[in-house]
Amino acid sequence: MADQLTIRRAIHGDEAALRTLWVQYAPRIDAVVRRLVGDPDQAADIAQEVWIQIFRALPTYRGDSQFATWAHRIAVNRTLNALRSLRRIGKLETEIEEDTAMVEHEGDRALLAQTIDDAVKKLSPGARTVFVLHDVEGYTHEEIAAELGITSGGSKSQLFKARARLRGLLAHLVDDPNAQDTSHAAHLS
Amino acid sequence: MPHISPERLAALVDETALPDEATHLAACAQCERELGAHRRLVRMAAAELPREHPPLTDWMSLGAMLKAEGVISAAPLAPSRRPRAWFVMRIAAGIALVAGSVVAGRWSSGFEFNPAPRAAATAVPATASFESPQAAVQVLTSAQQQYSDAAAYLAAQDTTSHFIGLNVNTYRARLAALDNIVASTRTALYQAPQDPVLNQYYLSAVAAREATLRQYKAALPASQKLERY
Repeated sequence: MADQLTIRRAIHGDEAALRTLWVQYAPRIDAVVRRLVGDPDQAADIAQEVWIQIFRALPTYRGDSQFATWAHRIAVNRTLNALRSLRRIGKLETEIEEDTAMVEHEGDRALLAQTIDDAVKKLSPGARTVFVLHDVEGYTHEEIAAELGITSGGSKSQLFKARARLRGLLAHLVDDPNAQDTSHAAHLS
Repeated sequence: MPHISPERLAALVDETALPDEATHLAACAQCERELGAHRRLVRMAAAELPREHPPLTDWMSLGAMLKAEGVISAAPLAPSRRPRAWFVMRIAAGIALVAGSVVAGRWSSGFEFNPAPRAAATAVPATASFESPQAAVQVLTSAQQQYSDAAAYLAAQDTTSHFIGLNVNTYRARLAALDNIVASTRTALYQAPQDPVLNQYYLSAVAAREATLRQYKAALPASQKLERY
């Protein structure tokens, strides 16, 4: 947890204090940027913008929430703005194509992701944003709706489509190893 | 009832099943298994939160941008309103402590020259506690004065400067090397004035230089006099 003296010194432009905050919180802040953005190069650029924004805004930090929470909010907000400016989040309600929401077909086996991070990168930007914010970062649908300018119903819809897609991409990790290997999709058809 | 759709199963991780869905889930092993997979997926996602990765940013470029933005102050800050005085006081105290250690070491060990920087480090117990920074400074000042007095006394009694066959050239080479060390550590201290390691190296080098200078002067022939070094 950042101590008040470090924050006070950082507000006054002390480089050592600013660096201390960065060292302490960069793994967490940069992680959320990485998850939301997906592309590593773009994530690195946006993470830099995020940190500059956090340090610029330091004088407005009142200490009524934990520094980590405060900085995290800025990181999410700034990242979403950057993604919007990159036109990577457009019309969220319609962005996910219907076929990406379907459960896996046999051909998708070749597209299985090794980790959840890899799988999330395969989602469309809108679906990724909602999934990361809700299932990883713990935002409520109301908070996501406010951040993205959509309804909470729209947030839920995006989330469930994203989960269905990820369930297929991560089948080898989430399937019950003791269960009989039959395709649920086959029963749907 | 047909099987529950994948999206609805994804929703049922958070929501309560409707009566007909609950009935179906109780009877359909396949849908129940799918719901289990969705639950494992959500648990896996939640477990990602505390997982940290190497930062995407690096301080060198971020710091440069913050300087350009004016977020990092051009002048280094210090806890005191008189940072330079505080810095000088710390250096002076350290010099006195280390110089005292040097002289004491030489006095006690005969001809051996030993800057003994560790002696300075152990002069104040690491566990010492004070009521306030002012009280600590007062104790430090008092100790500094006592150390200086003792060092001056021992230096006045020191007669070992002619000793072990080191000649003028040896001392000159040593002085040149120590000058370089003093210069580089002093430069580093202006960047990081509170770094204890840099302080220790700087103070040891200064003390060693002073001691070498005295030895050099003593080693010079009587016809020569050191005007300036």
